Amino acid sequence: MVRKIASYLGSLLIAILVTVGVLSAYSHWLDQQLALLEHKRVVLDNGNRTKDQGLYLLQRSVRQGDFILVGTSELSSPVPQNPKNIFPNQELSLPINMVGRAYKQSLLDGIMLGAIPASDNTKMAMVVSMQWFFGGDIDKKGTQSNFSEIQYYAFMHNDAIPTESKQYASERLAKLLSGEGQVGAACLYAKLHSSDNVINVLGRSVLYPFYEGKYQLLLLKDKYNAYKFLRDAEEIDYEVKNLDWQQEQSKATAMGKEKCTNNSLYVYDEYYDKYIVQDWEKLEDDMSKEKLLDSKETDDYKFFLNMAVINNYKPYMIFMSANGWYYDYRGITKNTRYKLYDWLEHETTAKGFSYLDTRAYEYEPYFYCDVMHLGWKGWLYVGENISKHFGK
Amino acid sequence: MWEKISQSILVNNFVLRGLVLAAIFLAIIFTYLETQEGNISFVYNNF
Repeated sequence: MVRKIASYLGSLLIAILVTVGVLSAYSHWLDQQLALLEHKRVVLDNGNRTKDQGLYLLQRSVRQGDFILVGTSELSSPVPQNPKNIFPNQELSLPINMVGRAYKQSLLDGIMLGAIPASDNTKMAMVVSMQWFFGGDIDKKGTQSNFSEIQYYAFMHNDAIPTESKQYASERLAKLLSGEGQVGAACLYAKLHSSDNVINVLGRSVLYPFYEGKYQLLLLKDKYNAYKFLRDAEEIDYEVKNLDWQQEQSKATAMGKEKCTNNSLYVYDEYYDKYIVQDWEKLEDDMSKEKLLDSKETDDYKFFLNMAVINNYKPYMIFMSANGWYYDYRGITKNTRYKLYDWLEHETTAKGFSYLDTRAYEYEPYFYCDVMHLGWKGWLYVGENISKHFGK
Repeated sequence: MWEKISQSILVNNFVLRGLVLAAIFLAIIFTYLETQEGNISFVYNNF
């Protein structure tokens, strides 16, 4: 009997040793392949899940000194002045890596920064939207769809992050990830790390091998996905654009004028027809109770700033205002909006970071292409300011 | 003689079992590398 048990345990040991050996050899082979692809220049647009929800490709950008632009849906603005067409330019000649999608906000961005320490020359800007502060708390489904399990585990493995910050992020995630089976393991991990009560400490000890194994597998998977992406992506030429900002502004005005013809809000025609015109009557003052500063996003934003400080980022913060005519109509007054911008500026300055205030352009035609996203003139203005800020 | 043969089979089985198990583990892991688990596969955009 004893001999039989020993035989089965021996088989298991052999299986584990062979598996670990093969995976180590495979990981080593991936490292070699990735080293060969290290200088391949490829498009790093936002919305690329391998990049935005992974580690390797973001670490690669930090290592290579790319300009990292973090934001949400405005990164996909359908205007020729989109940052992917403005950078690199004569003032900021670095390749651009755009990171983010709709609903990837301060909490997930803070976790991402906490997972990937900056290098000495990291140049990063981040666009903050007023819409992040709507509704008291951030969007649960949107957060789930942008959540990165590997970034969260890497963040939790970073010894430089204080326990309170790890507990804050875990507590938020435990709530926001609940009810979605695809992130069930991460949700349980978050619950176990949200406080230090006896049950959580015990649960963490029991499940430690599982989560450690999962983290190692996610790291391998991330390398594998990055390798596939870099291998298959088309190599691009590195072209530095020479932009005359003033001349480009005139072109932007002409483009905006051409696209906004059927409304007085200065939003492009298709957007107006699809999202506004049929609900126009219902929209009047429907958001008048919105406080903005009562949102949990305010705590998430402070968390983001702390992560930037701890991991040596010096982000240039872009406070994207909004289409003034539209939000006046919906009842989010200028006063309410300005209170938010003032608060953002105060918090950001307190951490020693620079910012760009765009409130003066809320009523500037063609600055926004719709009710909330930077448009022809807006992206040009922001692009110019980012370029001048980092090109100093 | 018989005892030697049976012992040899036992040893071989024990190694063989380990290798089969390793092959199963690796098959599961390499399948996992191709899946989307870890990041939610739906794209959510409410704007």
